[in-house]
Amino acid sequence: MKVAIVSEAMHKPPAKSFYPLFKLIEQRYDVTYFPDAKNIVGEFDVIWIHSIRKNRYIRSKTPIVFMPHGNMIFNLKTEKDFIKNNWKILKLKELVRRIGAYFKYIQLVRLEKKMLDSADVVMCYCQDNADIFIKQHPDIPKEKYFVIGYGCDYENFVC
Amino acid sequence: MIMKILYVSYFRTIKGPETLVKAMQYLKDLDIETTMLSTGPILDMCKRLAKKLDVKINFTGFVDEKTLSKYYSEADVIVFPYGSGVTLVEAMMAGKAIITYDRSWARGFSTHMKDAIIVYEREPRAFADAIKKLYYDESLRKTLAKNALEKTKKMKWKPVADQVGESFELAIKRKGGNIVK
Repeated sequence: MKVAIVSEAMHKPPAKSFYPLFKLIEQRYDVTYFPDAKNIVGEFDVIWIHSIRKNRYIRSKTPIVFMPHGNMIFNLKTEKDFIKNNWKILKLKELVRRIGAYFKYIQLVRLEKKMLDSADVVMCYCQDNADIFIKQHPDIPKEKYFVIGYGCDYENFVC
Repeated sequence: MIMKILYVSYFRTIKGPETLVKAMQYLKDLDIETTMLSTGPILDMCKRLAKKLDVKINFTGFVDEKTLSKYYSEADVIVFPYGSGVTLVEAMMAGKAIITYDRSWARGFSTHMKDAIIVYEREPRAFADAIKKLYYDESLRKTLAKNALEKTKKMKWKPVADQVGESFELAIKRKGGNIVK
């Protein structure tokens, strides 16, 4: 099975803690990494999009698995609360950046919703995460959500 | 005895580092050493806030993995002011008592008062209360840490990879395609 993974950088899994999972996926499937969903080159059996960014929205005839890996509605609310509670401590430059981030999240909330709509499967690490999306987006069928769980990597975690 | 508190997340608004800084103002009379690792867009603001509130916090900036491990091993309590996925599990693996905000990740992986203290309000005072609880109850601290470590031992990547494979197949079926092994 040929799998396109849309991730932070080409040939690089999204975060180090996920390396063991991605290594297993690489062993099982023919994997190619892409940083940008719109520039996927080649034919694939499935596209796995990891978290939403500006360059990670796609509609495709190829089956799509989308992992939100975060929650943009929560992030937007958090950014708003942060500005409301801390504007006095922020320098003007920082405040402008935070307001910029707030508008970026407005855009990402829309993109996330569009991606939830267009994905064939929405992947979540735990049921509680899926439940939050189900509650926030009642128009999206519950059957779309798929919980995969989470693992630990003791070999690479020494402390 | 000093209780060592650790924050291990990027300094982004969604991680809520300023909540921990603000919580520390209610704990000045306790023997607590707080270290906040990493960097990010609101690090400077957190430093100014700590100065303004007159709370002592060790802001380390970016640390390499070896140093990170050292901080993990020395910490007594790891605090996640707005909840965090990957690092939350890492903290559980490190066998430390965890205080986390009630986000989906936290609920998915932790059970309140069994392997973590889950804080239900995003308020500095609520975090200060949770820290205080662990400060005065060393046995609870040890129990939470032990249970968290035990839980992570059961979390394996192989069944997760199997599930990922199933999700691929499900997506292909939904699009009406054939599964190529």
